[in-house]
Amino acid sequence: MTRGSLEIVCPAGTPAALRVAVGAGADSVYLGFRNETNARNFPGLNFDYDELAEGIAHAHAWGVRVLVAINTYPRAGDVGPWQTAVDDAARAGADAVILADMGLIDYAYRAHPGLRRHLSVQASASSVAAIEFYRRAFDIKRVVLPRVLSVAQIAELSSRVGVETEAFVFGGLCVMAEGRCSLSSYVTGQSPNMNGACSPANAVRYEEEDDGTLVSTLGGYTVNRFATGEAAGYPTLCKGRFVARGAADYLFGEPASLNAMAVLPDLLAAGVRAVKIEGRQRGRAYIARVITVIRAAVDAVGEGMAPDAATLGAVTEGGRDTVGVYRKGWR
Amino acid sequence: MTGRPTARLTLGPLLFNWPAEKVRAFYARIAREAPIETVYLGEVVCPKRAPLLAAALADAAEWLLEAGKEVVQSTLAMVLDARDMAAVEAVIGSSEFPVEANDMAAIAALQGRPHIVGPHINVYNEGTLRWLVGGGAMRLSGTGTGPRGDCQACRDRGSGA
Repeated sequence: MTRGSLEIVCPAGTPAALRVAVGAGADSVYLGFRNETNARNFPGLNFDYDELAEGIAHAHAWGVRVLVAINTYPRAGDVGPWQTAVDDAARAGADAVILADMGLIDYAYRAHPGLRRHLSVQASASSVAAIEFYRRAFDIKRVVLPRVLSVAQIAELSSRVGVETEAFVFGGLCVMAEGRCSLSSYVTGQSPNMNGACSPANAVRYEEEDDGTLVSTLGGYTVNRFATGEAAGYPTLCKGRFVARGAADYLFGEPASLNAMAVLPDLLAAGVRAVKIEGRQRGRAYIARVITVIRAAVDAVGEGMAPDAATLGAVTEGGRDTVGVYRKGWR
Repeated sequence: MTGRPTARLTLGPLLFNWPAEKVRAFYARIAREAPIETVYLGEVVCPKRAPLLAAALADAAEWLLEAGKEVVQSTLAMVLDARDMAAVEAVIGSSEFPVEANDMAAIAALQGRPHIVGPHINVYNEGTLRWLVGGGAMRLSGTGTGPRGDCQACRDRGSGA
């Protein structure tokens, strides 16, 4: 890190997005293989081995690190593809692997002790005891914090763990605990933890009714109904609108995305080492715009200034955003 | 025995936000009437409400034991800070029953002594199962999201639990 004091970890859904992220000011990029070994197993995304090797060469030429997410849970009796992914990441010269499954972390620790191990957000390690368990057992170097912790909780935790902490600051926001949510599994029969996709596209339908109402369904279940002209979101069950006591409302969570720019100085003060942008499924223009704004904000914070509030709105696409639970209080 | 399978029935911990009297009445009936061998008791969802139910759950444990049922002590599904951890450690330290871990923080605290791995711990394969068994896991509650064959594969290739 030559600029600022928070490492910016950026999504690279494709080789083209990797180049955009490197050019826009990423300190690190994270990516996955084109299979079910990572949690963004969407059609048209991700890397094969040769693309990874080329991407690493390009990133390293610009001083940018490459982190390989192998963060789904290996199938019983068929852990081979996940171990191969770890072997391939090591062979291609990745700077770290991002892992969630204890058995796979154990494998990586023994087979490639020199390859940095980051604990994925999918491992849902939200406490000092849990994180220290992984550090002592498998010598992990960094934990990606679940999006369930307040800044005060992160500060307490960061001061007591022997690993770096990485926090999500922008993009899609799980309202459930990552790696422990079964909602999509129950209605689609496909497990995000194992197959790498929450609300997979093959289970999603949009149908327009005669009066113009747009109905979104997941696995055949109605998740939301949008009046004509109302912006229609992607049907994840946690952000569905359900009728309770006669009124339709977002019972689990508002369909807002995370924007923690306002608490960047607090995250830095809390001991956070790296900030992460969600969105490997996003296009190049979005990636470039978001990284550019966050680069400027992180550099400003690194120099002791407040992030420029005027630029923050430019990246939210007019949608609703939230600082999430970073500013949580007891209600 | 006529060759019918003899699966044991287990009742998981109560997750609803019920008042203490309703909890008491529920477990009184489970103790008296239910053909259940094992009952998991304890606060899994919200540490803030645990004190409100402590007395009711202690009564429930007594009734269940008197009825000849096995009792297991469940713990929090998500440990977020020092206060949550203290609550889990207090339960582990004082429980007279086997303890079910539902967060890796509890797994960490239970290393080296016999314990039960609850459904909120992700165990999808034999490598993870082996590691947990090595640390003292003696029983596992599946997450229910994997293919049916996975349990068998875990049993065949893992060890113990």
